[in-house]
Amino acid sequence: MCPRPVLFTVLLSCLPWAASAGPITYAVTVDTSSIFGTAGSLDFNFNPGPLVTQAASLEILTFTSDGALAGGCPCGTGDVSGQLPATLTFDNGTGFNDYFDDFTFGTTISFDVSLYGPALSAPDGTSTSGSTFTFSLFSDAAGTIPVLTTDTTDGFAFTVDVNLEGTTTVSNFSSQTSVQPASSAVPEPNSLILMGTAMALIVALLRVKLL
Amino acid sequence: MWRPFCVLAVLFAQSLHADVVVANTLGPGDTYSTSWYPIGFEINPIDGNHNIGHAAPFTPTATYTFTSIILPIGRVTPPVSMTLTLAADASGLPGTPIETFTITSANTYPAPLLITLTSTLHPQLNAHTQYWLVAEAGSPTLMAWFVFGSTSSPQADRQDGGPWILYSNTPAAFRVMGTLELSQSCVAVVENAVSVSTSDQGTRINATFTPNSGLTLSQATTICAFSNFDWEQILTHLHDPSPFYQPDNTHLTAASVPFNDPPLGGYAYCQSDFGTPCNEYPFYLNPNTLGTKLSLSNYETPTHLSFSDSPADPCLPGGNSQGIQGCNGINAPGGSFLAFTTRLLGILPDGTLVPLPDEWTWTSTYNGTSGGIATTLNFLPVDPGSGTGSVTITSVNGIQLNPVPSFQVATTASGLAYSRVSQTFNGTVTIKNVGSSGINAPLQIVLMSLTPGVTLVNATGSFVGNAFITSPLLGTFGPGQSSVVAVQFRNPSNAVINFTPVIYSGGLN
Repeated sequence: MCPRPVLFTVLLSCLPWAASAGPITYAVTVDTSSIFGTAGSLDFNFNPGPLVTQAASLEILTFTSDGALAGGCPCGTGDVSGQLPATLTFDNGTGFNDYFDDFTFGTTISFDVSLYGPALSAPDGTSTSGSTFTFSLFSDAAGTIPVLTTDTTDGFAFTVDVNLEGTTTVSNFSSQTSVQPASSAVPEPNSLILMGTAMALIVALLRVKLL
Repeated sequence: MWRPFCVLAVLFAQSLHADVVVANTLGPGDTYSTSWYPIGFEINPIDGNHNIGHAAPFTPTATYTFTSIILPIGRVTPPVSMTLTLAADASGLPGTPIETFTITSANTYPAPLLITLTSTLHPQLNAHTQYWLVAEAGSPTLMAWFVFGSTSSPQADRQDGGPWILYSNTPAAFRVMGTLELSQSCVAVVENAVSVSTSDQGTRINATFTPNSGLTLSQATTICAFSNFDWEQILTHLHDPSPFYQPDNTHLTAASVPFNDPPLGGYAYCQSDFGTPCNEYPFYLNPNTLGTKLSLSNYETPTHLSFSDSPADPCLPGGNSQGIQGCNGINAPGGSFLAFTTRLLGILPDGTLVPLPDEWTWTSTYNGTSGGIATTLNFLPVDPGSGTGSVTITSVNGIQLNPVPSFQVATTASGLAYSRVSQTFNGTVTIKNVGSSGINAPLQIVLMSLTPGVTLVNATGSFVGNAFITSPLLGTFGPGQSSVVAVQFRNPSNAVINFTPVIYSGGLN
């Protein structure tokens, strides 16, 4: 979340991301080489706020790692479906929507986080709470000892807030973790206008040449 | 709960502020009959002339601090010179004087006068202990102490200062007043035991009395020597035009306040909404019926007594007052509101009301309807979309609060991230001054109607049973300015966390 009352300003980055007509997707890569071979755990959760929250959903896509998932699921609580490494789908319909799995770390983890739904595509202007996604890594199976994060209080590697105006904000507490906007598959309205303008220009030039 | 008011509670621990009736033999409306007991020098051709004293007993049902006596006295033979003594009991007869009053003014018989004698010593009157009111006068004065009723009760006379003689006759009329002395054990049960909150987007006010120390309501009533607990609500501010009527078509207006809610006789709308007139006066809930909409028992569990109200008044500014009796398209002036005082009561076995220190005042600006009508004394939710406005708690136990109007501050919140390390749901609450003027800090964010079982781990304190957290902002909260406050919830059942935010300016302690 952003802002958070922590002092790790060097690592902390709060990156608001522009509204999009389609999903907002982040490509996540974690360098886990420093904890290679550790039998730990991973946690993902996506929860609404305490006031009036507009519906939103989230997917964890293309999970890839040379580490090993325990696979002793069910691992989900609340509105979560799927099982890693396949796609996980969350929504913010209950108070606690969580996926937690044992994991033996390899050298890297990567996945995409894709956020979508009315809260992102059509903010209603009347809701008063956003939603928040968190990702955490732990060096124990119980999920009590966070690793690869400076946020030792809460243990988050990074969080993504869905804001009331449909934007998102990333807060990254992990120097080993990269959270980068992924390219959107659906052109935004502004892009469409630009494309339309370009096409019209090309057509006009062609007409000039033909004349 | 109500921790901030513990100092006040200590004051209340000794006695309650309201005068209540300790004992009464006057008739309804302080009436009395034309018969009387002679006090003083009586010329009697049969028994001879004697100086007569008369005494009437009373027995408090609870322990009180004595404050005053009211009694009908007339002068038969001047001069007016009479004493009235509050005396202890001695083997069923008047005993040691406790406090003596001198009466030097009275109307001439047969036009008696209700005389009020105010205590200066304020002795304690113990529960279930008999006391006497002893009237005597010296020669040549003869006074008349008037009686009421037709049933006999123990009375005592004596002649010329001799021994008291007990007999049975019509009771001398009087009323003894006092402030109730709650036992320490009762105080421990009831003080700071009421939580108050708002819900339903701020249109409903709720309260719950939960006896302290894990006691049941039944155990609490036993300890306090009450027959019941109940609520009392008084409408203290009403606007014109008003939509409220009594069943006899009496229009309740701004000039009618203060009056009990419900008033004596009830409201006109209760006829249709409640099936019966809501004439439970002076209680908010009716302790004398079972199974009706207003029956006290409907709002009791073994451990709780609940209260709720959602006033709906389309005559308030901005309401759709067309077709509403009383205002018929004309709304009250801008800034109008309804104001209430609500408190917890104890009811003694004889029906005496005992105001308890758990009391709060509140206002409502909700200008819609509930069940399609204008109403207070309302257990239903308001009609969605029928109006705007909300209820606001304005004082607790006499301590004035400064609520910030919802049009002046907007409250939003982030999502809640669950931490497996702290096992808490963490987020932020943001308040923004959306008004045109500054608001004095500190600002308190009160979390009304927080999901049951959820606790605010980093709360600053508790306000009438609701967690609150203080914004770190100092000085003046200017227009357009925002303040972000971190919040951390413990939520063992993983329930959806929800609350109604209410902002106060200044301290709550």
